Amino acid sequence: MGNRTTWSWAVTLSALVLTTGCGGQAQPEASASRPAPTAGTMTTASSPATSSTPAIDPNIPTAARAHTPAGAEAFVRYFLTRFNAAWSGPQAGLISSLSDTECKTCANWEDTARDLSSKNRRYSADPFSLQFVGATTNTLNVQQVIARGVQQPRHIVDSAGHSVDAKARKELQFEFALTWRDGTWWAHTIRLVQ
Amino acid sequence: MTWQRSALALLGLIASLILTPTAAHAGDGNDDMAQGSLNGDGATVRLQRAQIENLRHAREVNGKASKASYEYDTVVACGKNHPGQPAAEPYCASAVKACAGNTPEQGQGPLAAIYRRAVSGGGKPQGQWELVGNTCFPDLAPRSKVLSMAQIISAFRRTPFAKPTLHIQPEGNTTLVTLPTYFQATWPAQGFQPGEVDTADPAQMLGHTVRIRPLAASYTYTFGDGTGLGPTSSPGGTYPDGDVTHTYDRAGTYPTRIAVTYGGEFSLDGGPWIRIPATATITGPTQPLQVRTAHNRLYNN
Repeated sequence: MGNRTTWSWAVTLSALVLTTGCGGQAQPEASASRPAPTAGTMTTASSPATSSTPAIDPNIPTAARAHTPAGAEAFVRYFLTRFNAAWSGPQAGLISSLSDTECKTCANWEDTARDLSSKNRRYSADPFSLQFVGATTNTLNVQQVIARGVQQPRHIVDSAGHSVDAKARKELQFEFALTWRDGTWWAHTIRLVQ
Repeated sequence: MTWQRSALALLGLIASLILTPTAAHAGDGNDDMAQGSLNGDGATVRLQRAQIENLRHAREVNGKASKASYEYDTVVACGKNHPGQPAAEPYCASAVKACAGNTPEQGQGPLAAIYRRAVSGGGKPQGQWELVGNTCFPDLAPRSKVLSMAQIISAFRRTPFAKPTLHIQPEGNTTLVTLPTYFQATWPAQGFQPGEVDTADPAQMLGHTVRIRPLAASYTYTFGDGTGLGPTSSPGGTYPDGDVTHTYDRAGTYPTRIAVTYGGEFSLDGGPWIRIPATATITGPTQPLQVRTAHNRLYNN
């Protein structure tokens, strides 16, 4: 969360400075929406700092585009595949393109991908191994999906391949809440099951 | 105003550079998958026994008195099940797996969703169904008709499993020192062997038809001389292809036996076969094996 908070501060400060200089009214504080603001979006007051509608990932498999429990399961499988690529690549933008703007866990995971990228670091291999995924309850257009797997023991390595940090093995279960919008699923919340 | 705008824009840029995400990210733990979730949308906790007990006593899950009267419905947490409707999926693998590995104290599932809606004094519904929470104690929920995994596991363990025996070669339960001896699992006519289907008593299954199909998860061989093999997935075999063999070093009589660990699947009311998250180990009878020494003799014809 620290990352997103910091960006918000930076964006807010920039926006305030710029709009005050123009003699206009202060713009509302940038939200935590993705895609995250870039240097380009922060330097002009005329372009919105953020967008509330992330671009749809064009690579979502056909199976994951079905508005069915099976489609929701396929979406979560794909999401976690992209999550692994985002952290082991690393590659920013993969997680945010599958996430609602409200998804705080998605934002944190996306921030980590961006942070790793900016530091020229990466996970040494896929951080998460999925064991099973299953659709559970469906209420008020929110489909819940359980994903169970293992956070693998991995090193975070620098550009030379040297370990700068290590993560322990953990068995994890997540509860995804997906919403259906614009003909595809979006990760709305991701909660750790305890 | 141009110079002011430029100066302020520069100030803004400097401020955003100072407050870089890289600097702020250190130490927040979000590069750990679980921590990133806890710092984000947080954790979800399954409703525990005490919380469900509160619901049964017309209280909220936190124990406070309810401000309204509610009716409850509990459905197995499968994608096609909805409150107030007949179960489209009486059971599903995902609901079973969501609670698999839990102890009885943690609830063995299946994962179920407890819903409620307000009702008037006359019992007339006043609103929409709302989700109270998910639980691995489906049978404890108010007016639940969900068959618990614990009941199915119990039925599985009551299955009259077939007791495995050993077919040993050379035949006649007699072999020779230094001669490879072959072992193979065999099944008697009595009891349910792997692949055969038993049907649990519906009276103990809330009226449901629960079929149970044992599977051989592993075999453990005891050769009687202090050695053994397993657990292994191999049921052994006969000469020359069997892969469970043993060579005895000394003559004697050795108590051999085999144990099988059964896994299983169940089917509820004709539904799909779902793996049961439990095992049962059945040990076969002891079978004495005579190991003799061969002597070479020359005969004059």
